[in-house]
Amino acid sequence: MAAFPINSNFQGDFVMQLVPVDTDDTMDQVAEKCAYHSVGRRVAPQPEKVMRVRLHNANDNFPRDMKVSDAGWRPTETLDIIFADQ
Amino acid sequence: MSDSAETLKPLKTWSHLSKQRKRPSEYEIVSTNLHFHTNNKEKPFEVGQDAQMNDWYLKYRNNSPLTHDDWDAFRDPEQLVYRTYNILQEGQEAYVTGLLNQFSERGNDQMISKEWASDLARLYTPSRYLFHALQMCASYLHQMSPASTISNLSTYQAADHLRWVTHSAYRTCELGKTWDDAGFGKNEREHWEKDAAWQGFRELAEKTLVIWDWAEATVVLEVVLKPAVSAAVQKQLGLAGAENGDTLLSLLNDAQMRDAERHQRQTKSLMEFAMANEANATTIQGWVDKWQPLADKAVEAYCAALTDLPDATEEAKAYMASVRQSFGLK
Amino acid sequence: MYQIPRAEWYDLTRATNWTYSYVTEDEMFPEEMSGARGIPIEEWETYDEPYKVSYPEYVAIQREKDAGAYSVKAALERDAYVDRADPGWISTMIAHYGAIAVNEYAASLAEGRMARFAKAPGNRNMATFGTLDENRHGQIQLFFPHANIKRSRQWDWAHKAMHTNDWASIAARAFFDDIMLCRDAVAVSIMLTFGFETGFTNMQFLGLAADASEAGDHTFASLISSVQTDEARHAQQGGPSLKILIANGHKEEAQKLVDVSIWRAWKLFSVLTGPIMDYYTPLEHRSQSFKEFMVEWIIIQFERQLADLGLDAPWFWDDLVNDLDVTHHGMHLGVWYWRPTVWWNPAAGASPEDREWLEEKYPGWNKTWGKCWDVITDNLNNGREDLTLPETLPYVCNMCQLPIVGTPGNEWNVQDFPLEFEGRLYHFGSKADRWCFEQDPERYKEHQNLIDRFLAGEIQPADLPGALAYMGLGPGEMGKDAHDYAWAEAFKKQAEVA
Repeated sequence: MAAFPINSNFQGDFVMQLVPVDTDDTMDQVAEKCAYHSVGRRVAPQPEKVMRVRLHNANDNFPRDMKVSDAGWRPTETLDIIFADQ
Repeated sequence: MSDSAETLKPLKTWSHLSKQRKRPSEYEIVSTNLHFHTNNKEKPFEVGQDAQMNDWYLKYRNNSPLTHDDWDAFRDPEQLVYRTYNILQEGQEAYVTGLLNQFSERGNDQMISKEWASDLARLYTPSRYLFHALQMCASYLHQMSPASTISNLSTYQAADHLRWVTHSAYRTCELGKTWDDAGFGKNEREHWEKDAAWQGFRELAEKTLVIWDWAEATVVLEVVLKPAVSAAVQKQLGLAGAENGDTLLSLLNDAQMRDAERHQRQTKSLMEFAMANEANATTIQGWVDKWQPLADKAVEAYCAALTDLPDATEEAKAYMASVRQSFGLK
Repeated sequence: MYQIPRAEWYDLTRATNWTYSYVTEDEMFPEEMSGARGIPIEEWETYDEPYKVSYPEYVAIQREKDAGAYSVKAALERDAYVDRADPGWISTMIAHYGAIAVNEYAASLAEGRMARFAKAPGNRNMATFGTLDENRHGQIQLFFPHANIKRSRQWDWAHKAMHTNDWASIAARAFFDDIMLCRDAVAVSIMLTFGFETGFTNMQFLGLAADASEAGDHTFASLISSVQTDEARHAQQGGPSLKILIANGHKEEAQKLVDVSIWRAWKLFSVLTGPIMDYYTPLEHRSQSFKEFMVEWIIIQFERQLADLGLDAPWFWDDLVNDLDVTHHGMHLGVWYWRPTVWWNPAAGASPEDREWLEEKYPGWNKTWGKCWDVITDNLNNGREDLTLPETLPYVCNMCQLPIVGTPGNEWNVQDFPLEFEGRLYHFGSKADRWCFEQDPERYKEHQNLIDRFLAGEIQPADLPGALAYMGLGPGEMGKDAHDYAWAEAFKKQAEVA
């Protein structure tokens, strides 16, 4: 249980943002915390999609239930949060 | 994001001046508290800690032995701003232009003796090097002073010194038209580097140019070097000119003294302001005692060459002493 | 004027180097301050300033200029143009004065660096006049906004801005401290007077002067065009230095100094001048788009000047040209959305007519930037102003100190350029920002940007009100939408009519 700063690059938004998450958060929770600062503010919601987390410009996403503490991120790691079908 | 805290109302002047009772002058509005790099005492600039310049400003400005808790409170007694500086100096230059052109028409240079012409080539026209050294010193003080109201003193002084350089350069050219074999425009550098009359001033000027602490550099320039330059190269040389029928030189040097005396009035205020802090008085007097011998030596060497004026050295030293006293110093 | 023509005696005013013997040349010109880069002093004495002026000419010309600018101000003050000007134009001035006035004064210190430490005597004299010029630019651009001090607490920022830790002030200091206040004399002549002034301030001042007179603000137009006439004189000081560096085998280093200053100047312009020209200036007063200005003044004109001096266009030239369609739109959206963190009232510039103009000048604007503004417009028209205000910090580049931005919406492409150096993870807003860092890591590595300070606990309480306090902003100073969202309501009316 510890605060962990990440650099959120949310799909469709125009700017990266500092988002504090928690080491115990799952990827879904990380995505939600990042969405709070983009979706409905500058990014139109896409309720039919799910949000997945990946390293900036990476090809594959982190498993949705993986915890931050297991993802091997450095503080302020840059993460893409994208809309996906599943 | 409601304006929960009480909304800040517009003020009558800048927030940093609104505490003072009286309405601020144009001078205060445009000159006070502008050195934002004095706000962070440990790191003046927005670069890495060990970046070039942070160390220089910490050592030679922030950590100078001369201390004051509010250098920004200093005010120029002349209240000079850029707008009024140009009005002042355009007027002075209009006067000097009249002098130069009238005396040229009256054949001033043709009426002086051959001996005096060679004295000028030796003792007058090389002064562009000394005046330029003052210009460089003032430019250093401009970038190192701990408050914008103090930097501005040397902003306008550097320009005044360039004015003096310009007068010497112009007269060098003009004199060369009449006296083409006296070495005008050719031998100034050699005189400045080798002639016994100049070596005292060159030594003091070179050593002053490498004083890096802003306060010591200010004291040596304004309290020691410049009064010596005014005493010998402006006032005594002007008197020697009058002795030799060179009225133009005496009037031109006298016109430059208007600048020099303005600088002295400004220095007087700055010294008073600094010496309000007791420890500073001892520090400043210490610097004067350390450097004055070099100035005395420079004046002795230069005045010895003014053979028409037996009392030149004595009068020059008396003048320097009176200027120091006017600053509240010995 | 003096009777003898200047050409006959001018060289004597700059024959002022001599052989030092009581101190060494290295003591007289320490490399850290002078930057002669091992080039002999005789080479520096070939320095020849193309634009010559002597002391009597200077004081006469400058007295006249000030008489003109100050009389226009006095005459128009009664006219109180500022009380009826478009709020977007008021924001233009408040932003401009805050970002520029005190930094112009600070530039006088950089001119002083050259006036004392340049080995080229001609440079020392021109820099002595340059010191006076910048003294003027600081003073006139403090005196003019002070006349409006009673109208809003934001006018106080013309003097206050650079003393605060507002993110825009940090960005301005990071730029000016890097390219001028913390540079040796030779580097200053190249980075400040050539890279920044010859390259960019031409545009900021002439571009704004054109918009100002269009907007009917003749006081501001006369002020900045008068200021610009001084620029031509002291901005020339870089050319001769570059020629000497190139002639003495230092072309690569000269090119690097130019490239760093151009990129960094561009980033500052993208956040200050870009939004002003494409969003704040009222539509009917826009003489050209920001991109058109940049193409004319930088991409074409300035590149020609680089070529004239034997330099190449910077390696990032294509990136810069591409970014003309992106960066300033992002900076504007960032400034507007984080408006409480600036000392002026950003104009959204996103009304229906504005967006038509933007789509015409920047094809594809609506399906990229427009997507963000759609969400914002809907929120405002549905009573959700709260969703148009920030609750966290944008991520800020470790070089330019500005938000990391990129194209949103359908062509989403926001890129971070990270770098690990001595165990610390840095983030940069572009390849060129990272490249600037890599040219001299020792110079930049310890610098803490706003995010670093926030994460290091220097900003307490660690939330947005805490950040606003850290930036020195109180209610009455914080930015608000310049037109109180009138531009958004226009969409609602359009919807009702349709």
